[in-house]
Amino acid sequence: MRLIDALLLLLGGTCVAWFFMTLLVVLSKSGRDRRGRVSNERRRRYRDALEAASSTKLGPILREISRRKGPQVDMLAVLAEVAPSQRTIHALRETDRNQQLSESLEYQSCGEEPVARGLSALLLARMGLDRGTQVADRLLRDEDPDVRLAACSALAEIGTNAAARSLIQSLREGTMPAERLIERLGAPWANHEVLLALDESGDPRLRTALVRALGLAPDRRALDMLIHLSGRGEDEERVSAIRTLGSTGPADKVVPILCSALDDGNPAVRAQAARAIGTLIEPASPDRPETSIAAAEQLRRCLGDEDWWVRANAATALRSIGKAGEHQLIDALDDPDEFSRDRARESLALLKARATAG
Amino acid sequence: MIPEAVNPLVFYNWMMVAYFLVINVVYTLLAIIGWREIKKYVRRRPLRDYRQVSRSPLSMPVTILVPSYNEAPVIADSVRSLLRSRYAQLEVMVINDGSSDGTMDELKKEFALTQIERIPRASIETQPVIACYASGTDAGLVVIDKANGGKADALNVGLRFAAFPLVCAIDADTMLDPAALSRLVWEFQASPETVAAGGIVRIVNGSRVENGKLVSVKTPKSILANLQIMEYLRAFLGGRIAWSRLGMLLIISGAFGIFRRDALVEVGGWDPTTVGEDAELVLRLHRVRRDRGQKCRIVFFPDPICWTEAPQSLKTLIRQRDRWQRGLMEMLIRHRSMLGRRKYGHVGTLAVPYFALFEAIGPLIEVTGYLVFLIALALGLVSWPLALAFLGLSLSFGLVISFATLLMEERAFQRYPSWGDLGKLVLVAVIENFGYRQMMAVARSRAFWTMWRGRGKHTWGDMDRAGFGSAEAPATQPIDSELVRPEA
Repeated sequence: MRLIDALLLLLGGTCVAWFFMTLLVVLSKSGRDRRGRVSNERRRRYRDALEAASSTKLGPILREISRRKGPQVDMLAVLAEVAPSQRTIHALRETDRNQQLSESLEYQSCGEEPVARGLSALLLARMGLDRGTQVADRLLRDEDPDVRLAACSALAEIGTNAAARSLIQSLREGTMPAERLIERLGAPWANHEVLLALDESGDPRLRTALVRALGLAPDRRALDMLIHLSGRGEDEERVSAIRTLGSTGPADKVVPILCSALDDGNPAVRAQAARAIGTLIEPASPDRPETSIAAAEQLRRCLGDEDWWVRANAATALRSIGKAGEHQLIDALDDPDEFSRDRARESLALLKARATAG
Repeated sequence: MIPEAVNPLVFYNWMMVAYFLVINVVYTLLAIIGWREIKKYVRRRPLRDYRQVSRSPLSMPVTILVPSYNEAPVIADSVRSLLRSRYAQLEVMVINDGSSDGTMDELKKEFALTQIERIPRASIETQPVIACYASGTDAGLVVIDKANGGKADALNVGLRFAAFPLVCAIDADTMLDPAALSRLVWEFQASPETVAAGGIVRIVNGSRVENGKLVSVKTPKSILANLQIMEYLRAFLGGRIAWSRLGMLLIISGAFGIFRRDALVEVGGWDPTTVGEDAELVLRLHRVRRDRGQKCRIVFFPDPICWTEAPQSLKTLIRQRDRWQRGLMEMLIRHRSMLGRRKYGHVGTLAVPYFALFEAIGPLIEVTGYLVFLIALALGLVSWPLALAFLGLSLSFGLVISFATLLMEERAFQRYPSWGDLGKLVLVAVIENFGYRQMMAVARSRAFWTMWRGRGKHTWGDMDRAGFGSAEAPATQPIDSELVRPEA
């Protein structure tokens, strides 16, 4: 074959490819526009049915969802926008009383296709259907990381003691990154199981993770546990507990505990305690002025700490706690330690700038 | 005399045909791999809860480094847009690299800056720091004023002072999609060996921006900006996705990339002696980490978006391409010892040779190819039908690749929603072959000359800034830098 013939052949081939590509671009655009319209219409229908919580409307929708991926994705999107009420969940369960959808989704959760497995777990969870926990628990050990994370989200949405136990078990087994499980366990519904596991477990890695989870949404029982751990736990547990107490309060109960933590032997504990005091005491409306004054005096002492991280956090905290802190900062301008003087000067300058700006 | 001259010319023409065929086969393979990856990503999107990443207090905190030099018209809007990012633990650090246009004054005025002390967390040699500032209006903003030293030096100062374990390097004239950070951070959280991740850069010209926020996306009126949109789409969707999938990504755009801070500190940060500090850094990460036997996952992610202003004048565009090309060549020269070495895996045996042959020398081959082809045609060594067939083939191959990229864009993202915008891009994909691509090849070839003369090194590269639009102060989340123990 001559060169020109080869070139012409190639030219013909690429021109045909270009023609088809152009056609595909146009078809793709119109197809997507059409699918977008269909999807919008479907979502509107799903939203109406969920709000009405009517079995008559939900019946055909559940049949649709059990068969095709598009409706499944749309239902997930709608459920993410409108959190279903108890009445809606009851209607969904009632509509699926013969378990047609649950069984179909459970079947899909065992399939070859990872996306179908993940979607089935999320749908069962968001729709509040019976087999959600059991499917998501199994998928926490799936070979695909995206499916494992979807199962983790599903359990967090189910939000029952059984779901919390599954997540804690996964934390124990180390089947997925601890942070992803901790952030899901950090919710009031999980506290009971987290406290139980904390009582039972002697594994320091698991205990530290559980303390972090407790700290994300502590209730009264969790608070008692955190106060206990802030003084008597392992290093990591103390740091974690103190950091948490700083975000929860209540100030009158917690600040004296944090002040005593400023004398801890571990600089990380002292640094977190200093920071926590700063976040707890409201400058505008201190619960008890004497608490602020006592804390400010303790923090002023920390400006001379041997660890610079503690000194830095103490200066930041003094800046945050209002007049009592400001007095101590002014006092620290004459401190023999250069670092303390600098931090005090810097904090006072920032206070002044914020007062001017705000 | 003519017969002796004839053989080299004919030989060169044959070389051009072979070169053309190989490069187009590579482009086609990259487009096919890119297409498969995008399909996979789109299918898996409903499973990924990116909102959880952005709101979780346990997501990896990020310091955004914004090196700026003479960015007064856009700096306030850019910073506001960054502070608005949906991300729980975020610090925005602007590094003013000795600007002379009042960038620092603009920042002081807009964000009520106050001088503070800040302790560096890493020891990397940089130009002296003049002062550090915190904002009185936005707790998440830190500004560092330093002596002029170039973009890489400014980024290194940011790296020294950054509080968080991930640093995001962006240009001062860029805007991030609110969800961009969480999507890239997902990659770091999903795979601990990830050391760097880059996102797609798109062109903001023509789109509507209000209060530092992108309101609607449209193609611009300027043909030059539209041509660049097509170029960017081809480079990112048709190239980088595939390189990333093959574990051979060599470039993370300086306009938007996230890195592990400890990995950057280990390799000494950005190199201030090169103009292509972004690409050089990625190649150095590959090299140093493989030398030390460490894992090195560097990925490109097509959905997190950074919007940037494209050059509006031809002169600025040519200067920009000249700078990019010099950066690429400097990077390859510095790391030439990686070329063909199996020790560096596919990066050494495939990616570096590809970039050397097709991306670095490619424009020169292309330009000389045009000249030799014309000479051969004038001398009657190539017949007109052959010449036309070859030109037609090169044009149609280019069109196939461009349209494949448009198809990816339409199927996966549809960032330009109207038929009018699509029509404009289709038109641009055709007309770019008649003059624009050739002009860019000449601009890139000029880099050989600039480099030879040793001119234009380590400059920021001038840009005509129009600014994004008016802005208001947004609400922001306070930073939580005390949670991170620095290794001072």
